[in-house]
Amino acid sequence: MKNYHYDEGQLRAFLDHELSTVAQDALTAHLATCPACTAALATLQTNTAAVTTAIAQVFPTQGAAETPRTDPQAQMALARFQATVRQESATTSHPVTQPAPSVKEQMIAMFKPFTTRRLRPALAAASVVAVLALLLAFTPLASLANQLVKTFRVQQFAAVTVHVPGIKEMPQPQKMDLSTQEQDQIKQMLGGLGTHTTNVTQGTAIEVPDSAAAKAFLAQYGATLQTPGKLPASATGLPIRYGTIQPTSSTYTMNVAVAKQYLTMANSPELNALPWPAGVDTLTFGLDTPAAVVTIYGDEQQKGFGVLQMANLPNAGPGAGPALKLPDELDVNAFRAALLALPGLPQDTVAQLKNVSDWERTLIIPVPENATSKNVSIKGNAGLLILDGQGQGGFLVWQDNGILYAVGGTLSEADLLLVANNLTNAR
Amino acid sequence: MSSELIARKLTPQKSVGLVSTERQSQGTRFETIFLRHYGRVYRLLYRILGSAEAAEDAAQEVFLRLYRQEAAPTDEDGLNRWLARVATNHALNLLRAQRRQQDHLQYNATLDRPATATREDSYDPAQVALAHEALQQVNATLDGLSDRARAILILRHRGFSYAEIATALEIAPGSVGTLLARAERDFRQRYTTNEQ
Repeated sequence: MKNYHYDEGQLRAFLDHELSTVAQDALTAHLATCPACTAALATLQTNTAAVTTAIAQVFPTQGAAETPRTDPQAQMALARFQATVRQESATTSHPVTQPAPSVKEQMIAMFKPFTTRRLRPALAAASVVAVLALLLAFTPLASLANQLVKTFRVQQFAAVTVHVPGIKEMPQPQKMDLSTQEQDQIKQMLGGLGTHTTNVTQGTAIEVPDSAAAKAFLAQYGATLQTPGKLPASATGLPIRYGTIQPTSSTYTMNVAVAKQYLTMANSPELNALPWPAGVDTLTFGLDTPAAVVTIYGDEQQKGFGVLQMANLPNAGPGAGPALKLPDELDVNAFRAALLALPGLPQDTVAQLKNVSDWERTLIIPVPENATSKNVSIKGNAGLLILDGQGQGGFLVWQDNGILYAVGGTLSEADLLLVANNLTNAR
Repeated sequence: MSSELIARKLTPQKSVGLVSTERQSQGTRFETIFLRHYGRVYRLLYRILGSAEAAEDAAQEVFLRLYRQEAAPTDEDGLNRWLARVATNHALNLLRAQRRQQDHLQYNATLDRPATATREDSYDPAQVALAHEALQQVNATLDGLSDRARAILILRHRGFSYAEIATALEIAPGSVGTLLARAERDFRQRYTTNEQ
């Protein structure tokens, strides 16, 4: 038995069970016979309790802070770190000769904005917008009644000029003269309007070291890598980089009751008249994109261009390009007609959408007002050429048996066509 | 695939021994260090800051400091201690800034009716003022403590063990109990004074 008193530090450690088992037991035994130590311990305990209560007011999340819910993503963090270092050294002059930044670093710097967590919700939101935009673009004319799931594939392209000022003319909730309570309800309902799922992650699109890796990647999906057999004079000698994109699958499930409720509050007879299917609680829209390879000539400093080549969707057979799946229950034809009839939409855009023939297989590509577009033929396949209108560059997209290709960059019309028409199997 | 920039920065004199294989390029050395230690640094920061986003941002800053550090420790053990210390200090500084901001926001809330209607139902100026006063007292009390006392209270509150506290604050493991007891007594005395 100890015949002296424990010091404050030992007593405090005792409270936190930080003593060894032997010491803990010895102190317990000592307390039974020592009023002084018992009193000292009680004081410490009171102090601890008071401090804990007070500090909890400032740090209320203590419980949640015990263990991270997500695994640390070291690789992603490293990429972000290297981008920062790279950017820093680019802006500070250094007496030592700067070695040229590696391709990896250049890629990382370009994609840096997307590696911060803040932007991830924005990306998710953007993909929802994309799904809904594609809904408009793909909605089928023929009802294809025999199909259980309505799947639509791209066969052709149409450019639709987006009249930017027109967007401002669209109905906005704050202009609907709603009370603050109603606006709150709308906010709540929008949150419950639907759920979005996607398998797109940070690792979906990555750079690979060489053409062999890109080739092997595409081969997994039954496609042969195509590279330009001829290069425009302006592009000779540019560094070449390769990126791979995994197949993606996204869905948006809309809660029909919530959508209807929302539209009722919007108090628009046209919106209320949308032909919703009867007796259906949810509608699920899906968008699948196949694996793809991007070949980039040049870097962000120099002029250059990129070639996008898609494969077939996995396990979908030949000719299976990106596919939008619409819910079987929805009369998409009537729905599209009703959407196009909504008041307040930019009328010139609506007119162009209405004019697209065979639009169930047409990918609508919105283009800015000053851009020009025209239909072209690439090795006998329908394509669309869009030029920026300022002679800076353009974008060319075409399909070959359901498979999408695109070439874009700081190239003239002739050079875009030259690259597109000379794609051949990579050696 | 290696990073020449990092290779340039980490000259052999600075980081020999961290990566045993001589064949590994200088560039991959820092990458190896980063990948090996990131998880531990992140978890430590997460426990102090309580948010994944804040921990990710803070970890970037910690590794930047290591990267810029001229005399970074070259042995595994020293590096572990260096990272723990720098990460803890950085996180505690962030928390302090956060407390200031929180204090400021709450203060504004006592002055103005919130502009957004979302809290309309629960808004009670008297309640808000009271909550703010309590918060301000705790913050003032914490700020009045020595840096070490404040750190020890916060780390303990965040569930750090005595051994972890000792490493993070570079104190002897045997003195954590004494310093903690002292910090708590000090806090309570000052807090009571602030309350009056």
